[in-house]
Amino acid sequence: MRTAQLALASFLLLPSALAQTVVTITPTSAEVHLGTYIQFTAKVTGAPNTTVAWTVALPAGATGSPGTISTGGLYNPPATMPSVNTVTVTVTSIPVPTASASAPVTLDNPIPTVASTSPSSIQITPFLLTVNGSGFVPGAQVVLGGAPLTTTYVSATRLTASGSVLPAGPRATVVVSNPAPGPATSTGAVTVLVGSEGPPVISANVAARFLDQAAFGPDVDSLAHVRAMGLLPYINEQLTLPISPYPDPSQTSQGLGQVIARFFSNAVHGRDQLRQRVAFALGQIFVVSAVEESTPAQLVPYLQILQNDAFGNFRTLMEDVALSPTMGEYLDMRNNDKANPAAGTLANENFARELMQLFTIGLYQMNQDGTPQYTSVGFLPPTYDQATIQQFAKVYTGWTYPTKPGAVLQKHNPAYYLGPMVPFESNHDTTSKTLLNVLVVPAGQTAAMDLKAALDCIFTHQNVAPFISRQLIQHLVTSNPSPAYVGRVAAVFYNNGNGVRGDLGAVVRAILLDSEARAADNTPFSLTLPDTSGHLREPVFVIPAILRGLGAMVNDTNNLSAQAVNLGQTLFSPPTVFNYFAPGYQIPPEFTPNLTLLGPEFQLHTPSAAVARFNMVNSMIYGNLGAGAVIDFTPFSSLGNTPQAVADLVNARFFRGMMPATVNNELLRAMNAVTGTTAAAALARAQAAIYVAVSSSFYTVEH
Amino acid sequence: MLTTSRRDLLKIGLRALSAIGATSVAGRLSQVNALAQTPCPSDYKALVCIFLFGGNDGNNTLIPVTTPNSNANNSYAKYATVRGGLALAQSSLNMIGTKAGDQYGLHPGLTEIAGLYNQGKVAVLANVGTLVTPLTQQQYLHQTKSIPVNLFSHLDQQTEWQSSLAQGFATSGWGGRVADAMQSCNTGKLPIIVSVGGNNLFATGAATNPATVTAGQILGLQGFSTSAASTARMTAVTNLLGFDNGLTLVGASNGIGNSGISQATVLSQALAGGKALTTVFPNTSLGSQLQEVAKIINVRAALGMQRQIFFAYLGGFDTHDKELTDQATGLTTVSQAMNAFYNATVEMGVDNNVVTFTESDFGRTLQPSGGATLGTDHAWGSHHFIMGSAVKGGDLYGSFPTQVLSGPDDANNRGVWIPQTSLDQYGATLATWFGVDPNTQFGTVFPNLANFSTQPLPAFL
Repeated sequence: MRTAQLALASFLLLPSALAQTVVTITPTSAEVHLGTYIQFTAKVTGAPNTTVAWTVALPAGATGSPGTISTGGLYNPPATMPSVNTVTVTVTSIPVPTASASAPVTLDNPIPTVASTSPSSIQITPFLLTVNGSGFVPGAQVVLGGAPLTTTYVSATRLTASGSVLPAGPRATVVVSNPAPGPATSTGAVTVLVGSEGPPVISANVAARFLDQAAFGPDVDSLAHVRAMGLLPYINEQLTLPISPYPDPSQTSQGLGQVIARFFSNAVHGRDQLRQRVAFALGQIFVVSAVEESTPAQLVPYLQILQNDAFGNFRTLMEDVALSPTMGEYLDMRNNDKANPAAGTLANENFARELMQLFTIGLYQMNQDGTPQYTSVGFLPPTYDQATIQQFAKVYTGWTYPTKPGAVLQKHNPAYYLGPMVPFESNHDTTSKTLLNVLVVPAGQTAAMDLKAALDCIFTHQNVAPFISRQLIQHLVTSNPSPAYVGRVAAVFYNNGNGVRGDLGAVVRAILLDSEARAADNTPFSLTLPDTSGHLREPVFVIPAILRGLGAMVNDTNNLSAQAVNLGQTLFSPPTVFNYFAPGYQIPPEFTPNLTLLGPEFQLHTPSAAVARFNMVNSMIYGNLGAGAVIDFTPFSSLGNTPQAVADLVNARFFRGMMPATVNNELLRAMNAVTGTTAAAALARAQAAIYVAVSSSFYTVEH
Repeated sequence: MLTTSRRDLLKIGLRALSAIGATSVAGRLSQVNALAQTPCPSDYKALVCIFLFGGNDGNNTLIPVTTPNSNANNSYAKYATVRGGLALAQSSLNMIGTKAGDQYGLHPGLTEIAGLYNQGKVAVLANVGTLVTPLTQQQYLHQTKSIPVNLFSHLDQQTEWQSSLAQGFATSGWGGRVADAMQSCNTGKLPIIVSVGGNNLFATGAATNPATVTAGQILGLQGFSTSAASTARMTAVTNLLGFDNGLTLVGASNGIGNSGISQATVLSQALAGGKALTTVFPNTSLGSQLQEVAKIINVRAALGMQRQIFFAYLGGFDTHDKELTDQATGLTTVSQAMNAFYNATVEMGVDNNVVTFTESDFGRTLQPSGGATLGTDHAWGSHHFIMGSAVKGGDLYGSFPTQVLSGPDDANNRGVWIPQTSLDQYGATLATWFGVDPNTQFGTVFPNLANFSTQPLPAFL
C-alpha cells in the first residue's frame, strides 16, 4: 500500500517537473593543459530524476580527438592537440534530453618536463645539447642558464639545442618552455656542468661502491663527481642540493602514472640521489600505500614530506607524518572520534599502535646498539602494553582533514590533502592519559598540546635511535649490521655533536662513512668481504641501477614500474603498513646453510620472483622499453668485436672493476658464441654480456 | 673484527621479528629425521590454506541469532547492542543451523559459503586462536600462565598462526613441518608445498621450502632459443648460478634462482599436458590464486604427487574504518573464490581429497571504534571455515564466545575473545586427516599440542 502511494506521488510530480528541469554545469568555462584533467560537476533542478550524460565535442570542421569525458564528468584532453584548441563539454539530463548545459574548454599545450641532458657537461663552444624529457611540442625553447638556445624539436620527449656562449658555472639550469596556447615552462632541478670535474681524489672502485649505497648505483657522471670530491664533501653537497620534485598534483593526469614515472626518471637522472634514497627508505618505515592512497592529490603531499624531511630532524618528520592527512586517512587518525558512550565506540587504536610498533620504538626494550634487553629469565621486555595503546589512542582524537579554502571547520571535514590536519576540539578526548614511561598527560589539554606531549614522549624513548638507525643501515648498506655499527650510528642519532637529537642528515652521514660500511672498499667479491655485508637489490632499485650503468635516457613517459611488478614490488603500493618486507626477515636456511642471515629484500625474492628477475633483465636488454626509457648500447657494441673490451666495460660499469674472473669468463663464453663482425653481431655480443652480468647474483646482491 | 657472530645475529633476529628465532642447522636436520614417513599412503590428499591478512572480523563473519545449545547467553539482540552501528541487519544474514539446532547467521557476502555449509561441505570452528596453553580469563588477566607473545601485533600474530608457536622463536611453519613429515611420499621433483601467495613462514619447513607460483605469470626463462649463441648464454647463466665465491648472500640468490628455474621447468611440462578445467573462477586475486592451485592439482599424477599443501591469501581485512564496505568486499571475494575452487575439486573428482581452510592474524574487537565510518581494532580469537567433501560440515565446532564487553570471554574491555580452541588443535585435526602420525610426529609438528592433551581435537574431519 505504501509503495503504491509513493509511485502515485512521483507520477503526479512528473508533468510539472518536465517544464522546469534546469541543468547547470560547473565550471562554466575552463582552460586545461594536455596531460592534465579537469572535473566538471552538474546540478539538476526541477526533476526528481537527476541523472545526466556527459559529452565532449570539437567545433564543426575541426579535426583530431576532442579527448574523453567519464560518466562522472571527469574530462581528459586528447594526447595531441586537435586542429583547433577549443572543445565543448556538454551535460544533458537523461530523462529530459532537452535540458542541457555546456562549457567551452580551452586546450593548452602540455606542461614540459626535463629529465636529463646529453652530454651532462659542456666545456667548449659551440656546444650541442640533447634534452630528454616529456611534453615537448614544436616551437619548444631550451633555456640554459637563463639564455635561450637555438632549439630543434625532435619528438615529444627529445629536443636538441645549440649555443655559442658558455653560461656561468659551475652549473647551469636547463628549462624548456612550450609556446602558446598556454605557454608553460618546466620546473625541476636539472643542471649542466659548465667545465669539467676536477682530478680524482679517490678510486673508481670506492666511488662506485659508495654510489650503490648512497645513490641508485653509479653512472658515468656521478662516478666522476664522487671521485673528484671524495665521500664526505659529496655527502655534504648532497644534503644541500635542490630536491628533484614530484609533479604537482594539479599538473598530472588523475592516475598515479606520472608520479610513478617521475620516481624512475628522478632515480636515473636526479642529482639529489642520496635524498631520494633516504626519502624512499623513510617511506618504507613510515609506510602509506597507494593501495588506499591512490591519487596524486593523496600521495604527492606525503612523498613531499619524506623528501623535505629526509635530512631534517626526526621529531619534525614524526610530527609532519602524524598530521599528514594522507597518513591520517591510511591509519585512521583523521576523524578519530573520542569515546562515545551513546554509540558504544572507543577511540581508534590504529595510528597509536603502528606509530610505536613500526615507525619509532618497536616491540621490545633495546640497548643502544639495537640488541634486545633480556630479563634474567631470558624474557624480552615489551615497550608498551595494550592499555598504553588505548591511552595513546585517546591522544590522537579530534583531528580531521585540513579545512578546504573557503569552507568551515567541521567535526569531520571532507577529504582534502593540502597542509596538516586540523583539530576539532570538542571531538578531542580531554581526559588525562598515561603514556610511555608512565608520563601523565594532564586532563583538559587541547588536541595540539596532547599531540606534542605524546610525540615528545615517544621521541625521547631510548629505542628510537637504535630502531631507526638500524633500519636505515639495512636500507642503505647491509641487511646484517653488527651491533657495534648500530650503536655508533645510534650515538649520532642521540647527539649529532652539537647536542641535537634526531638529526637525520648527521645519521645518514654516519651510516655511509662508518668503518663497517667502508670495510669492503677496494675488496674483491670473495670471502675477503665480511660475509654479513651487503644486501639484495630490491626490484625498484635494480631497474634504475642497470639503466644508470648503461647510460639510458629516462623521462616521465616511462613505464618502468611494470618491470618491478612481476618481481613482487608495485611502486608506492606495499600491501600493508608492514611494508613490502620485514626488517627481520630471515633467509630460509636451505639457501644459507652455513650462516643465519637476515635478508629483508629476500622476502620478495621467491623462486618464481627470481625467474621473473631474469625475465625483467631480458626485457630491458632485448626488449623495447618505449620512448620513456631509451638505452643506447653504442658504448658497449662499439667494442663488440673485442669481447674482453666489452667485459672490461661491464666490469667498470656494474662491478666497480672487481668482477670475479669466473664471471668474466662466462661473459666471454656468451660473447664468443656469437659469430661474425657485423654491427648486429657486435651488438649481440654486447647484449649477451650485459644480460649475463646484470642477471647474475653477483650483481643482484650488492656487497 | 667486523664479522657479526652467529650469536649476535640470533639476537638481531629476535629483536627485529620476535617470532623468528633460530635453531641450529643440526637441530633442524634431526627434526627432519624424526619425521620420515613410513609407510606412505596410496591415495591423494591436499591441504589448502587461505590466509586472510589484516585480521578478519569474526564477529561480523558469524553472528549468533538463536543459540540455546551452544551459548544460551547469546542472541542477535545482544550482538546488535554491542556492535551498534556495525551490526549487520538480521534480515541480511545467510542463516545456517547447527546439528544441535542453534541458528547462526553468516555475513551477507558469504552466500556461497553458506550454501556449501548447508550441503554439509563446510564446517565452522568458533573462537580459535593463538595459545601456548589453555587459558582461563583469570589466568590471562593475572598472567599466571604462558601468554602468546605480542598479541594484537599483525606480524607477530600472523607468524604465530603460521608457525603454531605462540611463544615466538619459530623458524618454521606448521604447514612446512607437516610437509617435512610427508614429503618422502611424493615421487615428483616439485616441493610438497606450493605457495601462490609469496614467501611465508607457514610453508617453510625445517627441510622443505615451498615452490612459488605467481598466478598468471609465464613460467621459466624467456628470451632463449636453441641457437648456439643462446645456448652459450644459457650455459653462462647456469654456470654463474653455481658460483658464489663463498659469499652467503650470493649463494642464497643462486639457490633461489635455481629453485625457481627447476620448479618452472617441472610445472610447465606437467601443466602443458593438463586438461583444461571448465570451472569458472572469479577474476579476483584469490580467484586467480585458487585457479592456479586447481590447475596444479589437476596434473598431480604427472607431477608425481601423493600429498600437497598450498598457501593462498587475500589482504584487506584490517578494517579499522569502512568496515561494513571493506569486509563485505573481502568476504564476498573469499566466498566466491572458495566456491569456485570447491566446484573445481568436484570437476576433478578430488572433492573428498582436498580440504581448504582459513587462517587470519586475529579477530577484531566486538566494540566498534569511532570515526566518520566505523571500524574495529585488533583482537584475538576468531571463527574459521573448513571446506571439502571429507569435512563433517553443516555444523559449528568449538565454543562460541559470549557477546558481552568485559564478559566471561573478554581479555579486556572491548570484546577481545580469549580463544577456547588453540591453533594447534585446529591444525592437528587437519594434519591427522592428511596422514601425519599423532603418536610419533605431533611432538615435532605441533610442539604445544601436548599442553592441550586433556581436550579432544575439534572433530570436523
